[in-house]
Amino acid sequence: MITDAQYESLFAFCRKHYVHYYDVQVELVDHLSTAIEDKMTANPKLSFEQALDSIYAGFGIKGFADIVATRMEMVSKKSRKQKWKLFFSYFTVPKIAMTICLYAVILLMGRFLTQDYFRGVFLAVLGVSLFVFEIIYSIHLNRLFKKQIKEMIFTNERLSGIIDTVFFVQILFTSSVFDFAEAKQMHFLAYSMISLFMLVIFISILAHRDFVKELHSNALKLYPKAFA
Amino acid sequence: MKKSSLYKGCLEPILLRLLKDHGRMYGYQMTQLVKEITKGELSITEGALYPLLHKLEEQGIVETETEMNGNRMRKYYSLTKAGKKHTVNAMDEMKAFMQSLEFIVNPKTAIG
Repeated sequence: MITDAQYESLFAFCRKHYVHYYDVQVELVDHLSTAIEDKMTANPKLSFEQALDSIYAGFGIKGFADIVATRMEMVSKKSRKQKWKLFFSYFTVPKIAMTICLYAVILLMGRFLTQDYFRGVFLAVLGVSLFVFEIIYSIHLNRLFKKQIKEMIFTNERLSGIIDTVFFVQILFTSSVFDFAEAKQMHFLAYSMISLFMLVIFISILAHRDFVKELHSNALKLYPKAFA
Repeated sequence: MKKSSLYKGCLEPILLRLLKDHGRMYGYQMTQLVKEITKGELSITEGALYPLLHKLEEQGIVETETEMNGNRMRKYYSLTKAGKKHTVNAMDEMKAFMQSLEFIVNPKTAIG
């Protein structure tokens, strides 16, 4: 059996060979330690270092590089699929009920806002609220990972695929759609299209929130030692 | 021809079969079991094993769980429900492939 210190030294060995992510290190360290123990049992004269060198040689000329690269690619692919799945869940039963209700309320508001500029002002307020909502939620979600002490490919996915509301609002305000929307009395069709666009952004923020929460609970379950 | 290049395309069905028979397994265990079953004739390299396992995980064919043993952590792989179905198909394809090879390598026996 290898000692706890030798076991821990394998994490340093992984870092030395450019494996900086804990979720990959865990698997490699387990592999290396079990293989070293087997080798040392078969040949008691072998030192820990000699056994480690011979096992590492078995990983080939690229060492751990291919394993890390594939892991990154696969985790990213899987996350992308999961994000889309969560996004589309708002357009299927039962969540579609909430989506329809929200859109119906916005459309109903549009029907009542008949005074000059009111529809445009309402949509501008909605856009800014969306932006504020996104910032507050990002801060809230980041707090979940405050206790994470080890970097993982797995949890880095929370930072990718965030829809930047500012970017979309900017497009909206600089596009000809908004020129049309700025008209004294915005056409109801323009109002319904712009609000639908905002609703999609809102849902993508919700889907991203669901994804990050899921990611956090899976990370805690799979890699508890990565959190303080 | 190097033996490893002969079974390169068969690595996936080999892993699926192992997982089907043994429930959950960890990476090193798979390499050792293949070596043991084939009496050292086949050996899976780590550089091929882990990328494939990660790919199968992305495809939803296998799922993972970790277990702590004292200070040590081990990651286990097992087949998902979809993975079990996939394994049945992969085994059928493998058998058909082996039969086709038999036709080429040993035509008389194959026809007889």
